[in-house]
Amino acid sequence: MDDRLKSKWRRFLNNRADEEEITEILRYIREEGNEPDTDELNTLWEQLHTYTALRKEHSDRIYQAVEERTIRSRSKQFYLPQWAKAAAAVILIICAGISAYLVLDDKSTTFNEIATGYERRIITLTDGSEVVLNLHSKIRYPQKFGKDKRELFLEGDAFFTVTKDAQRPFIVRSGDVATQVIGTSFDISARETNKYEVAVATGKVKVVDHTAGAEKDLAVLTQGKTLSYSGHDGQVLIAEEALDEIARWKDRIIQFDNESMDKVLKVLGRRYGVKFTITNKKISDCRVSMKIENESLQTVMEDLRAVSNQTIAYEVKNNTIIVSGQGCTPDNH
Amino acid sequence: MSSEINSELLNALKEGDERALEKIFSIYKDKLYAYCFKIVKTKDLTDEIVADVFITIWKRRDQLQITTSFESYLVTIARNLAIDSLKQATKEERLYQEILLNASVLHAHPVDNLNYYELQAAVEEAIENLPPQRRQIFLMSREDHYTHKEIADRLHLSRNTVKDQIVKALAAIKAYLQLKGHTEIPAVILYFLLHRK
Repeated sequence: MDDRLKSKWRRFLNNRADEEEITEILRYIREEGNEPDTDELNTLWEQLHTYTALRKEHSDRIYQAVEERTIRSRSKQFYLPQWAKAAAAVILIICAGISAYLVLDDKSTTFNEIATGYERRIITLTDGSEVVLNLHSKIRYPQKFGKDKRELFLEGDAFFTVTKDAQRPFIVRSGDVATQVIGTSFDISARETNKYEVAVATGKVKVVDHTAGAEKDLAVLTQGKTLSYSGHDGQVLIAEEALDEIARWKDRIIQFDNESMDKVLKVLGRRYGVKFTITNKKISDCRVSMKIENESLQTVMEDLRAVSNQTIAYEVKNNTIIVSGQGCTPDNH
Repeated sequence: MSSEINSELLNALKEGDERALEKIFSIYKDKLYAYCFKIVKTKDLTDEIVADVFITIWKRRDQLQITTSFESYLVTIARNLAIDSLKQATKEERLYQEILLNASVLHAHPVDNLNYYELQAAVEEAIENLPPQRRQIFLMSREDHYTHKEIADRLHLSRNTVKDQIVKALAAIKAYLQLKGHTEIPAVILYFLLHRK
Protein backbone atom coordinates (compact mmCIF):
# COMPACT_ATOMS: atom_id res chain seq x y z
CA MET A 1 0.00 0.00 0.00
CA ASP A 2 1.53 3.31 -1.00
CA ASP A 3 0.97 6.50 0.98
CA ARG A 4 -1.72 7.77 -1.33
CA LEU A 5 -3.71 4.58 -0.99
CA LYS A 6 -2.97 4.40 2.71
CA SER A 7 -4.71 7.71 3.30
CA LYS A 8 -7.72 6.48 1.35
CA TRP A 9 -7.68 3.33 3.44
CA ARG A 10 -7.67 5.48 6.56
CA ARG A 11 -10.59 7.48 5.20
CA PHE A 12 -12.39 4.25 4.34
CA LEU A 13 -12.00 2.94 7.89
CA ASN A 14 -13.33 6.17 9.33
CA ASN A 15 -16.26 6.38 6.94
CA ARG A 16 -14.83 9.47 5.29
CA ALA A 17 -14.11 7.96 1.89
CA ASP A 18 -16.43 8.84 -0.98
CA GLU A 19 -17.80 6.28 -3.36
CA GLU A 20 -14.87 6.51 -5.75
CA GLU A 21 -12.36 5.99 -2.96
CA ILE A 22 -14.36 3.13 -1.49
CA THR A 23 -14.40 1.41 -4.87
CA GLU A 24 -10.67 1.87 -5.24
CA ILE A 25 -10.00 0.37 -1.81
CA LEU A 26 -12.32 -2.57 -2.31
CA ARG A 27 -10.79 -3.34 -5.70
CA TYR A 28 -7.31 -3.14 -4.26
CA ILE A 29 -8.14 -5.53 -1.43
CA ARG A 30 -9.84 -7.94 -3.79
CA GLU A 31 -6.59 -8.54 -5.67
CA GLU A 32 -4.62 -11.59 -4.67
CA GLY A 33 -1.47 -10.68 -2.74
CA ASN A 34 -2.60 -7.17 -1.81
CA GLU A 35 -2.75 -6.57 1.90
CA PRO A 36 -4.28 -3.53 3.55
CA ASP A 37 -2.02 -1.64 5.89
CA THR A 38 -2.08 -3.04 9.41
CA ASP A 39 -0.55 0.03 11.08
CA GLU A 40 -3.72 1.90 10.21
CA LEU A 41 -5.71 -0.87 11.81
CA ASN A 42 -3.69 -0.71 15.00
CA THR A 43 -4.16 3.05 15.13
CA LEU A 44 -7.86 2.56 14.52
CA TRP A 45 -8.09 0.45 17.67
CA GLU A 46 -6.03 2.82 19.74
CA GLN A 47 -8.09 5.80 18.68
CA LEU A 48 -11.44 4.15 19.04
CA HIS A 49 -12.78 5.77 22.18
CA THR A 50 -16.44 6.27 21.42
CA TYR A 51 -18.61 3.37 20.50
CA THR A 52 -22.06 2.28 21.51
CA ALA A 53 -22.97 -0.75 23.55
CA LEU A 54 -24.51 -3.64 21.70
CA ARG A 55 -28.08 -4.30 22.63
CA LYS A 56 -28.43 -7.38 24.80
CA GLU A 57 -30.37 -9.33 22.17
CA HIS A 58 -27.62 -8.72 19.68
CA SER A 59 -24.66 -9.60 21.88
CA ASP A 60 -26.49 -12.64 23.25
CA ARG A 61 -26.94 -13.91 19.73
CA ILE A 62 -23.26 -13.49 18.99
CA TYR A 63 -22.20 -15.21 22.18
CA GLN A 64 -24.58 -18.03 21.45
CA ALA A 65 -22.67 -18.63 18.22
CA VAL A 66 -19.47 -18.70 20.25
CA GLU A 67 -20.90 -21.21 22.69
CA GLU A 68 -22.18 -23.44 19.95
CA ARG A 69 -18.71 -23.88 18.60
CA THR A 70 -16.73 -23.93 21.81
CA ILE A 71 -18.33 -24.86 25.07
CA ARG A 72 -20.91 -27.23 23.70
CA SER A 73 -18.34 -29.15 21.69
CA ARG A 74 -16.00 -29.54 24.61
CA SER A 75 -14.93 -32.84 26.01
CA LYS A 76 -17.40 -34.48 28.28
CA GLN A 77 -15.72 -33.82 31.56
CA PHE A 78 -16.93 -30.23 31.41
CA TYR A 79 -20.42 -31.21 30.63
CA LEU A 80 -21.34 -33.23 33.66
CA PRO A 81 -24.76 -32.13 34.76
CA GLN A 82 -25.17 -30.87 38.28
CA TRP A 83 -26.80 -34.00 39.58
CA ALA A 84 -23.96 -36.22 38.41
CA LYS A 85 -21.56 -34.31 40.61
CA ALA A 86 -23.39 -35.42 43.73
CA ALA A 87 -21.53 -38.17 45.48
CA ALA A 88 -22.79 -41.72 45.13
CA ALA A 89 -25.59 -40.84 42.78
CA VAL A 90 -27.24 -43.62 40.87
CA ILE A 91 -29.00 -42.94 37.64
CA LEU A 92 -30.96 -45.54 35.83
CA ILE A 93 -33.42 -45.75 33.06
CA ILE A 94 -35.83 -48.60 32.88
CA CYS A 95 -38.26 -49.29 30.13
CA ALA A 96 -40.84 -51.75 31.28
CA GLY A 97 -44.27 -53.16 30.65
CA ILE A 98 -47.38 -51.61 32.00
CA SER A 99 -49.45 -54.73 32.49
CA ALA A 100 -47.74 -55.79 35.68
CA TYR A 101 -48.00 -52.35 37.08
CA LEU A 102 -50.90 -53.04 39.39
CA VAL A 103 -50.22 -56.66 40.18
CA LEU A 104 -47.92 -55.91 43.03
CA ASP A 105 -50.34 -53.55 44.63
CA ASP A 106 -50.58 -54.22 48.31
CA LYS A 107 -54.22 -53.76 49.27
CA SER A 108 -53.51 -52.91 52.87
CA THR A 109 -51.52 -49.83 51.98
CA THR A 110 -52.85 -46.51 50.79
CA PHE A 111 -51.11 -45.28 47.66
CA ASN A 112 -50.61 -41.90 46.14
CA GLU A 113 -50.61 -41.75 42.40
CA ILE A 114 -49.22 -38.92 40.34
CA ALA A 115 -49.41 -38.78 36.58
CA THR A 116 -47.90 -36.11 34.35
CA GLY A 117 -49.04 -34.86 30.96
CA TYR A 118 -47.01 -32.26 29.12
CA GLU A 119 -45.20 -31.14 32.24
CA ARG A 120 -42.58 -32.45 34.62
CA ARG A 121 -43.22 -32.74 38.33
CA ILE A 122 -40.99 -32.86 41.34
CA ILE A 123 -42.29 -35.00 44.16
CA THR A 124 -40.82 -35.29 47.62
CA LEU A 125 -41.42 -38.65 49.25
CA THR A 126 -41.98 -39.16 52.96
CA ASP A 127 -38.42 -40.37 53.51
CA GLY A 128 -37.07 -37.16 51.98
CA SER A 129 -36.21 -38.74 48.64
CA GLU A 130 -37.01 -36.68 45.60
CA VAL A 131 -38.51 -37.76 42.31
CA VAL A 132 -38.51 -35.77 39.09
CA LEU A 133 -41.25 -37.25 36.97
CA ASN A 134 -40.86 -36.78 33.22
CA LEU A 135 -43.65 -36.05 30.73
CA HIS A 136 -46.38 -38.66 30.34
CA SER A 137 -45.25 -40.70 33.29
CA LYS A 138 -46.97 -42.14 36.29
CA ILE A 139 -45.72 -42.93 39.73
CA ARG A 140 -47.48 -44.75 42.54
CA TYR A 141 -46.07 -44.81 46.03
CA PRO A 142 -47.33 -45.67 49.51
CA GLN A 143 -48.31 -42.80 51.74
CA LYS A 144 -46.00 -44.35 54.25
CA PHE A 145 -43.10 -46.62 53.38
CA GLY A 146 -42.87 -50.05 55.08
CA LYS A 147 -40.45 -50.93 57.84
CA ASP A 148 -38.21 -53.16 55.76
CA LYS A 149 -38.25 -51.51 52.37
CA ARG A 150 -39.18 -48.43 50.39
CA GLU A 151 -40.99 -49.64 47.34
CA LEU A 152 -42.78 -47.75 44.60
CA PHE A 153 -44.12 -48.26 41.11
CA LEU A 154 -43.31 -46.42 37.97
CA GLU A 155 -44.55 -46.18 34.45
CA GLY A 156 -42.59 -43.75 32.30
CA ASP A 157 -39.41 -41.86 33.18
CA ALA A 158 -38.34 -40.54 36.50
CA PHE A 159 -35.19 -39.34 38.16
CA PHE A 160 -34.72 -40.23 41.80
CA THR A 161 -32.56 -38.70 44.48
CA VAL A 162 -32.76 -41.17 47.29
CA THR A 163 -32.19 -40.50 50.95
CA LYS A 164 -29.78 -42.99 52.41
CA ASP A 165 -31.31 -45.64 54.65
CA ALA A 166 -29.34 -48.86 54.87
CA GLN A 167 -32.14 -50.58 56.81
CA ARG A 168 -34.76 -50.03 54.12
CA PRO A 169 -33.64 -50.59 50.53
CA PHE A 170 -35.18 -48.36 47.91
CA ILE A 171 -36.87 -50.41 45.22
CA VAL A 172 -38.53 -49.20 42.07
CA ARG A 173 -40.80 -51.66 40.35
CA SER A 174 -41.64 -51.33 36.71
CA GLY A 175 -43.49 -54.24 35.27
CA ASP A 176 -41.68 -57.40 36.22
CA VAL A 177 -38.42 -55.70 36.91
CA ALA A 178 -37.38 -54.41 40.27
CA THR A 179 -34.50 -52.04 40.59
CA GLN A 180 -32.90 -51.90 43.95
CA VAL A 181 -30.75 -48.95 44.69
CA ILE A 182 -27.46 -49.32 46.45
CA GLY A 183 -26.72 -45.64 46.18
CA THR A 184 -28.53 -42.36 46.41
CA SER A 185 -29.99 -41.23 43.14
CA PHE A 186 -31.18 -42.73 39.90
CA ASP A 187 -33.41 -42.41 36.89
CA ILE A 188 -35.98 -44.83 35.63
CA SER A 189 -38.11 -45.03 32.59
CA ALA A 190 -40.76 -47.60 31.87
CA ARG A 191 -42.58 -47.20 28.61
CA GLU A 192 -42.43 -50.03 26.16
CA THR A 193 -44.16 -53.25 26.99
CA ASN A 194 -41.81 -55.81 28.45
CA LYS A 195 -38.67 -53.97 27.44
CA TYR A 196 -36.32 -52.61 30.04
CA GLU A 197 -33.42 -50.29 30.04
CA VAL A 198 -31.38 -49.38 33.07
CA ALA A 199 -28.57 -46.88 32.95
CA VAL A 200 -26.40 -45.93 35.88
CA ALA A 201 -24.47 -42.69 36.02
CA THR A 202 -22.82 -43.17 39.36
CA GLY A 203 -23.44 -45.55 42.22
CA LYS A 204 -24.59 -49.13 42.18
CA VAL A 205 -27.87 -50.79 41.30
CA LYS A 206 -29.19 -54.33 41.30
CA VAL A 207 -31.79 -55.31 38.73
CA VAL A 208 -34.00 -58.32 39.32
CA ASP A 209 -36.55 -59.99 37.05
CA HIS A 210 -39.65 -61.25 38.82
CA THR A 211 -41.40 -62.77 35.81
CA ALA A 212 -43.53 -65.79 36.67
CA GLY A 213 -42.87 -65.45 40.35
CA ALA A 214 -39.25 -66.48 40.01
CA GLU A 215 -36.52 -64.15 41.13
CA LYS A 216 -33.69 -63.85 38.70
CA ASP A 217 -30.85 -61.42 39.21
CA LEU A 218 -30.22 -59.73 35.91
CA ALA A 219 -27.23 -57.69 36.86
CA VAL A 220 -25.53 -55.46 39.35
CA LEU A 221 -24.74 -52.29 37.50
CA THR A 222 -22.12 -49.75 38.33
CA GLN A 223 -21.24 -46.34 37.01
CA GLY A 224 -21.60 -45.86 33.27
CA LYS A 225 -23.27 -49.21 32.62
CA THR A 226 -26.48 -49.60 30.72
CA LEU A 227 -28.59 -52.69 30.76
CA SER A 228 -31.10 -53.51 28.05
CA TYR A 229 -33.38 -56.40 28.73
CA SER A 230 -36.20 -57.86 26.74
CA GLY A 231 -38.73 -59.81 28.76
CA HIS A 232 -39.85 -61.61 25.58
CA ASP A 233 -36.67 -63.50 24.85
CA GLY A 234 -34.75 -62.96 28.06
CA GLN A 235 -31.89 -61.26 26.27
CA VAL A 236 -29.67 -59.15 28.48
CA LEU A 237 -27.30 -56.62 27.00
CA ILE A 238 -24.92 -54.54 29.05
CA ALA A 239 -23.13 -51.61 27.48
CA GLU A 240 -21.09 -48.62 28.52
CA GLU A 241 -22.90 -45.35 28.34
CA ALA A 242 -21.30 -41.93 28.52
CA LEU A 243 -22.28 -40.28 31.76
CA ASP A 244 -23.81 -37.24 30.24
CA GLU A 245 -25.94 -39.33 27.90
CA ILE A 246 -27.92 -40.65 30.82
CA ALA A 247 -31.17 -39.02 31.86
CA ARG A 248 -30.51 -36.16 29.54
CA TRP A 249 -34.15 -35.20 29.50
CA LYS A 250 -33.79 -34.06 33.06
CA ASP A 251 -31.64 -31.18 31.94
CA ARG A 252 -33.85 -30.71 28.91
CA ILE A 253 -31.02 -31.58 26.60
CA ILE A 254 -31.32 -34.31 24.05
CA GLN A 255 -28.34 -35.44 22.08
CA PHE A 256 -28.51 -37.76 19.13
CA ASP A 257 -25.32 -39.29 17.81
CA ASN A 258 -25.90 -40.95 14.49
CA GLU A 259 -29.28 -42.09 15.73
CA SER A 260 -31.98 -43.46 13.46
CA MET A 261 -34.69 -40.99 12.46
CA ASP A 262 -37.17 -43.46 13.87
CA LYS A 263 -35.74 -43.13 17.37
CA VAL A 264 -35.26 -39.38 17.03
CA LEU A 265 -38.89 -38.80 16.12
CA LYS A 266 -39.98 -41.05 18.96
CA VAL A 267 -37.99 -39.06 21.48
CA LEU A 268 -39.12 -35.72 20.03
CA GLY A 269 -42.70 -36.86 20.02
CA ARG A 270 -42.54 -37.72 23.67
CA ARG A 271 -40.76 -34.55 24.59
CA TYR A 272 -43.00 -32.17 22.70
CA GLY A 273 -46.19 -34.15 23.10
CA VAL A 274 -46.80 -34.59 19.38
CA LYS A 275 -47.23 -37.53 17.06
CA PHE A 276 -45.04 -38.09 14.04
CA THR A 277 -46.16 -39.76 10.86
CA ILE A 278 -43.75 -40.54 8.07
CA THR A 279 -44.93 -40.76 4.50
CA ASN A 280 -42.06 -42.95 3.38
CA LYS A 281 -40.68 -45.85 5.36
CA LYS A 282 -37.17 -45.13 4.15
CA ILE A 283 -37.10 -41.94 6.22
CA SER A 284 -36.74 -44.02 9.37
CA ASP A 285 -33.40 -45.32 8.06
CA CYS A 286 -31.87 -41.84 7.96
CA ARG A 287 -29.24 -41.11 10.58
CA VAL A 288 -29.31 -37.98 12.68
CA SER A 289 -26.72 -36.27 14.84
CA MET A 290 -27.94 -33.22 16.64
CA LYS A 291 -28.34 -31.65 20.02
CA ILE A 292 -31.50 -30.09 21.32
CA GLU A 293 -31.79 -27.81 24.26
CA ASN A 294 -34.59 -25.53 25.18
CA GLU A 295 -35.73 -24.88 21.64
CA SER A 296 -39.25 -24.67 20.37
CA LEU A 297 -40.54 -27.58 18.34
CA GLN A 298 -40.45 -25.44 15.23
CA THR A 299 -36.77 -24.63 15.70
CA VAL A 300 -36.03 -28.29 16.28
CA MET A 301 -37.86 -29.29 13.12
CA GLU A 302 -35.94 -26.68 11.14
CA ASP A 303 -32.68 -28.00 12.60
CA LEU A 304 -33.71 -31.52 11.78
CA ARG A 305 -34.37 -30.47 8.23
CA ALA A 306 -30.98 -28.78 8.09
CA VAL A 307 -29.05 -31.78 9.42
CA SER A 308 -30.90 -33.94 6.90
CA ASN A 309 -29.51 -31.71 4.15
CA GLN A 310 -33.03 -30.50 3.39
CA THR A 311 -34.02 -33.99 2.26
CA ILE A 312 -37.05 -34.00 4.50
CA ALA A 313 -40.09 -31.77 4.66
CA TYR A 314 -42.65 -31.55 7.39
CA GLU A 315 -46.17 -30.37 7.83
CA VAL A 316 -47.93 -29.71 11.11
CA LYS A 317 -51.52 -30.80 11.48
CA ASN A 318 -52.93 -30.27 14.93
CA ASN A 319 -50.94 -32.59 17.14
CA THR A 320 -49.45 -34.58 14.31
CA ILE A 321 -46.37 -33.79 12.29
CA ILE A 322 -46.18 -35.40 8.90
CA VAL A 323 -42.61 -35.93 7.74
CA SER A 324 -42.03 -36.56 4.07
CA GLY A 325 -39.01 -37.06 1.87
CA GLN A 326 -37.04 -39.58 -0.12
CA GLY A 327 -35.50 -41.19 2.92
CA CYS A 328 -32.23 -43.08 3.10
CA THR A 329 -30.92 -46.53 2.38
CA PRO A 330 -30.03 -48.50 5.51
CA ASP A 331 -26.45 -48.29 6.74
CA ASN A 332 -25.64 -45.57 4.31
CA HIS A 333 -24.22 -43.07 6.72
CA MET B 1 -10.94 -1.82 30.28
CA SER B 2 -7.70 -3.76 30.21
CA SER B 3 -7.38 -3.52 33.98
CA GLU B 4 -10.30 -5.94 34.21
CA ILE B 5 -8.22 -8.52 32.39
CA ASN B 6 -5.97 -9.90 35.10
CA SER B 7 -3.82 -12.99 35.31
CA GLU B 8 -6.42 -14.74 37.40
CA LEU B 9 -8.96 -14.40 34.63
CA LEU B 10 -6.48 -15.51 32.00
CA ASN B 11 -5.44 -18.51 34.08
CA ALA B 12 -9.07 -19.50 34.38
CA LEU B 13 -9.38 -19.23 30.61
CA LYS B 14 -6.30 -21.39 30.11
CA GLU B 15 -7.83 -23.99 32.36
CA GLY B 16 -10.94 -24.10 30.24
CA ASP B 17 -13.31 -22.13 32.41
CA GLU B 18 -15.99 -20.91 30.04
CA ARG B 19 -17.06 -18.20 32.45
CA ALA B 20 -13.68 -16.58 31.86
CA LEU B 21 -14.38 -16.53 28.13
CA GLU B 22 -17.77 -14.99 28.73
CA LYS B 23 -16.26 -12.38 31.02
CA ILE B 24 -13.67 -11.41 28.41
CA PHE B 25 -16.42 -11.28 25.82
CA SER B 26 -18.44 -8.93 27.99
CA ILE B 27 -15.43 -6.67 28.52
CA TYR B 28 -14.48 -6.35 24.86
CA LYS B 29 -17.61 -7.01 22.82
CA ASP B 30 -18.69 -3.41 22.27
CA LYS B 31 -15.36 -1.96 21.26
CA LEU B 32 -14.46 -5.01 19.25
CA TYR B 33 -17.74 -4.87 17.39
CA ALA B 34 -17.36 -1.20 16.58
CA TYR B 35 -13.80 -1.89 15.44
CA CYS B 36 -14.65 -4.78 13.15
CA PHE B 37 -17.64 -2.95 11.74
CA LYS B 38 -15.39 -0.09 10.72
CA ILE B 39 -13.40 -2.55 8.66
CA VAL B 40 -16.09 -4.67 7.01
CA LYS B 41 -19.06 -2.24 7.17
CA THR B 42 -21.55 -5.07 7.27
CA LYS B 43 -23.49 -6.27 10.27
CA ASP B 44 -23.66 -9.93 9.34
CA LEU B 45 -19.94 -10.15 8.63
CA THR B 46 -19.16 -8.34 11.87
CA ASP B 47 -21.35 -10.76 13.81
CA GLU B 48 -19.32 -13.62 12.37
CA ILE B 49 -15.94 -12.02 12.97
CA VAL B 50 -16.64 -11.12 16.59
CA ALA B 51 -17.85 -14.67 17.27
CA ASP B 52 -14.79 -16.08 15.48
CA VAL B 53 -12.45 -13.97 17.60
CA PHE B 54 -13.71 -15.60 20.78
CA ILE B 55 -13.85 -19.05 19.24
CA THR B 56 -10.19 -18.61 18.24
CA ILE B 57 -9.23 -17.42 21.70
CA TRP B 58 -10.97 -20.42 23.22
CA LYS B 59 -9.39 -22.92 20.85
CA ARG B 60 -5.92 -21.52 21.40
CA ARG B 61 -6.30 -21.04 25.13
CA ASP B 62 -3.50 -23.56 25.80
CA GLN B 63 -1.00 -21.39 23.96
CA LEU B 64 -1.99 -18.20 25.70
CA GLN B 65 1.03 -16.26 26.97
CA ILE B 66 -0.02 -14.46 30.06
CA THR B 67 3.08 -12.28 30.07
CA THR B 68 2.23 -10.47 26.85
CA SER B 69 -0.58 -7.98 26.50
CA PHE B 70 -3.84 -9.79 26.12
CA GLU B 71 -5.44 -6.84 24.43
CA SER B 72 -2.92 -6.71 21.61
CA TYR B 73 -3.31 -10.47 21.21
CA LEU B 74 -7.07 -10.02 20.91
CA VAL B 75 -6.78 -7.11 18.49
CA THR B 76 -4.33 -9.01 16.30
CA ILE B 77 -6.76 -11.91 16.02
CA ALA B 78 -9.66 -9.55 15.28
CA ARG B 79 -7.64 -7.57 12.75
CA ASN B 80 -6.57 -10.67 10.82
CA LEU B 81 -10.03 -12.17 10.83
CA ALA B 82 -11.58 -8.89 9.70
CA ILE B 83 -9.11 -8.46 6.84
CA ASP B 84 -9.67 -12.05 5.70
CA SER B 85 -13.39 -11.51 5.86
CA LEU B 86 -13.22 -8.24 3.91
CA LYS B 87 -10.99 -9.85 1.29
CA GLN B 88 -13.35 -12.78 0.83
CA ALA B 89 -16.40 -10.51 0.76
CA THR B 90 -15.01 -8.33 -2.03
CA LYS B 91 -14.83 -11.41 -4.23
CA GLU B 92 -18.56 -12.01 -3.90
CA GLU B 93 -20.70 -9.69 -5.95
CA ARG B 94 -23.56 -9.47 -3.47
CA LEU B 95 -21.31 -8.72 -0.51
CA TYR B 96 -19.15 -6.38 -2.56
CA GLN B 97 -22.23 -4.34 -3.40
CA GLU B 98 -23.42 -4.41 0.17
CA ILE B 99 -20.13 -3.15 1.55
CA LEU B 100 -19.99 -0.44 -1.11
CA LEU B 101 -23.53 0.63 -0.30
CA ASN B 102 -23.05 0.62 3.46
CA ALA B 103 -19.78 2.50 3.23
CA SER B 104 -21.43 5.09 0.98
CA VAL B 105 -24.40 5.52 3.28
CA LEU B 106 -22.11 5.87 6.29
CA HIS B 107 -20.11 8.47 4.41
CA ALA B 108 -23.11 10.43 3.24
CA HIS B 109 -24.94 10.31 6.56
CA PRO B 110 -22.51 10.28 9.43
CA VAL B 111 -24.46 8.49 12.09
CA ASP B 112 -22.10 8.91 14.97
CA ASN B 113 -24.80 9.14 17.57
CA LEU B 114 -26.99 6.69 15.83
CA ASN B 115 -25.80 3.19 16.05
CA TYR B 116 -25.95 2.06 12.48
CA TYR B 117 -25.37 -1.65 13.00
CA GLU B 118 -27.63 -1.78 16.00
CA LEU B 119 -30.29 -0.15 13.89
CA GLN B 120 -29.73 -2.80 11.23
CA ALA B 121 -29.94 -5.54 13.85
CA ALA B 122 -33.11 -4.04 15.25
CA VAL B 123 -34.68 -3.88 11.79
CA GLU B 124 -33.88 -7.56 11.28
CA GLU B 125 -35.39 -8.44 14.63
CA ALA B 126 -38.47 -6.40 13.83
CA ILE B 127 -38.85 -8.32 10.58
CA GLU B 128 -38.38 -11.64 12.39
CA ASN B 129 -41.14 -10.65 14.75
CA LEU B 130 -43.71 -10.03 12.04
CA PRO B 131 -46.49 -12.58 11.66
CA PRO B 132 -45.38 -15.23 9.12
CA GLN B 133 -47.49 -14.14 6.16
CA ARG B 134 -46.79 -10.46 6.65
CA ARG B 135 -43.09 -11.24 6.92
CA GLN B 136 -43.15 -13.27 3.75
CA ILE B 137 -44.90 -10.52 1.83
CA PHE B 138 -42.56 -7.90 3.19
CA LEU B 139 -39.45 -9.88 2.34
CA MET B 140 -40.70 -10.70 -1.15
CA SER B 141 -41.09 -7.00 -1.70
CA ARG B 142 -37.90 -5.88 0.00
CA GLU B 143 -35.43 -8.56 -0.92
CA ASP B 144 -36.73 -10.20 -4.04
CA HIS B 145 -38.13 -6.97 -5.46
CA TYR B 146 -41.40 -8.47 -6.51
CA THR B 147 -44.10 -5.96 -7.37
CA HIS B 148 -47.32 -5.94 -5.37
CA LYS B 149 -49.05 -7.60 -8.27
CA GLU B 150 -46.46 -10.36 -8.53
CA ILE B 151 -46.73 -11.05 -4.83
CA ALA B 152 -50.53 -11.09 -5.03
CA ASP B 153 -50.40 -13.57 -7.91
CA ARG B 154 -47.92 -15.86 -6.25
CA LEU B 155 -49.67 -15.95 -2.91
CA HIS B 156 -53.19 -15.93 -4.33
CA LEU B 157 -54.09 -12.73 -2.54
CA SER B 158 -55.65 -9.50 -3.69
CA ARG B 159 -53.37 -6.59 -4.47
CA ASN B 160 -55.02 -4.58 -1.74
CA THR B 161 -54.22 -7.25 0.82
CA VAL B 162 -50.57 -7.21 -0.24
CA LYS B 163 -50.42 -3.44 -0.05
CA ASP B 164 -52.13 -3.45 3.32
CA GLN B 165 -49.75 -6.08 4.67
CA ILE B 166 -46.70 -4.10 3.56
CA VAL B 167 -48.02 -0.92 5.14
CA LYS B 168 -48.69 -2.82 8.35
CA ALA B 169 -45.25 -4.43 8.24
CA LEU B 170 -43.55 -1.04 7.90
CA ALA B 171 -45.63 0.39 10.73
CA ALA B 172 -44.78 -2.60 12.95
CA ILE B 173 -41.07 -2.26 12.17
CA LYS B 174 -41.08 1.44 12.97
CA ALA B 175 -42.94 0.77 16.20
CA TYR B 176 -40.41 -1.90 17.13
CA LEU B 177 -37.50 0.44 16.44
CA GLN B 178 -39.05 3.09 18.66
CA LEU B 179 -39.59 0.54 21.36
CA LYS B 180 -35.88 -0.32 21.16
CA GLY B 181 -34.95 3.33 21.59
CA HIS B 182 -34.22 4.20 17.98
CA THR B 183 -36.45 7.21 17.99
CA GLU B 184 -34.83 9.78 15.75
CA ILE B 185 -33.85 7.90 12.66
CA PRO B 186 -33.18 10.03 9.60
CA ALA B 187 -35.80 9.15 7.03
CA VAL B 188 -33.16 8.44 4.42
CA ILE B 189 -31.42 5.85 6.61
CA LEU B 190 -34.67 4.18 7.45
CA TYR B 191 -35.64 4.10 3.82
CA PHE B 192 -32.29 2.57 3.00
CA LEU B 193 -32.64 -0.12 5.65
CA LEU B 194 -36.17 -1.02 4.65
CA HIS B 195 -35.78 -1.02 0.90
CA ARG B 196 -32.27 -2.20 0.37
CA LYS B 197 -30.70 -5.07 -1.55
